[in-house]
Amino acid sequence: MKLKRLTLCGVLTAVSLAIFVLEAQLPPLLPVPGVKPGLANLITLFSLLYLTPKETCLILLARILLGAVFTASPATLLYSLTGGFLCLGTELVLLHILHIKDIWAVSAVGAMIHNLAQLIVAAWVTGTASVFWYLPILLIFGILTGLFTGFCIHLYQKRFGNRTKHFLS
Amino acid sequence: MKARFWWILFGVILLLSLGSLFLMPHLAPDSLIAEIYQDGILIQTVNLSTLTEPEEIELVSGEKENLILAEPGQISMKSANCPDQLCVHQGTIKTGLYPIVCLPNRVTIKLSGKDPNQPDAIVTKAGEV
Repeated sequence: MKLKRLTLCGVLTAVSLAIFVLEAQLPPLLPVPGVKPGLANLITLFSLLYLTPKETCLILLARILLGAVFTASPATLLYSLTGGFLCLGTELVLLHILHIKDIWAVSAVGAMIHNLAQLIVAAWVTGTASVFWYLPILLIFGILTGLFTGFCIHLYQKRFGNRTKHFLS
Repeated sequence: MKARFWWILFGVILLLSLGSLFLMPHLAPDSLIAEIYQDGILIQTVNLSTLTEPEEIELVSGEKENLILAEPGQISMKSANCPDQLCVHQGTIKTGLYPIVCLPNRVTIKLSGKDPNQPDAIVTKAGEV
């Protein structure tokens, strides 16, 4: 069974990396840094539901590190790491407290935390507090994209949740 | 937790964000920076938002003389020794929409919301920011 999990982790890393790199190629939706679909979060949510926290962290770490290599943007590594892991941490805690059917809300909160964390890093790195003017627009998009990915996972969980658990057991 | 709780929470955050998005331009006008150019060269910048009292700026370059009056939030050409006096008649400007241009003396006053000493954009790769 160990091999099965390992393989799944590898596949999930590959998928999230592919989504991440593809997203980086898309033209920005708005002239605001940080507004993007955030579909790679789908994989994080999936692993949160069906894998252990440790495996989830490893998948996320591998995705972020490899993502920086593939998009040739090591400068954004700091943003990705803080945003990604704070988001993951929040989602972990919330999933502990809440029911699995609240995954869509967990996802939206996680996305908002993700954007907030990156904004704080941006303010710290550039030394300008005025980047917080971006907060409202980033929160709006955080909620919208978070809800979208959250509902995707929610539907998956409803339809294939048992089968996935059975596959992994 | 009840789904309704989340919808209300997200709704409130969305509304607050949208509201502040619309209010923002009114609440905090960009810092207003006047840039004064002569012969296309940036001579001086004046931050009009931090200005507390009117300030006169004299530009003398050879025969050309311009007197600029910078006031809190606005700027005007007080006098110029140019023949047409168009720049003086233009009066005060408060936004970056139209610059004051004194063609004969080759003086331009532009307003912008950005301090030239600050980065006007933080450009990042279209990656994760």
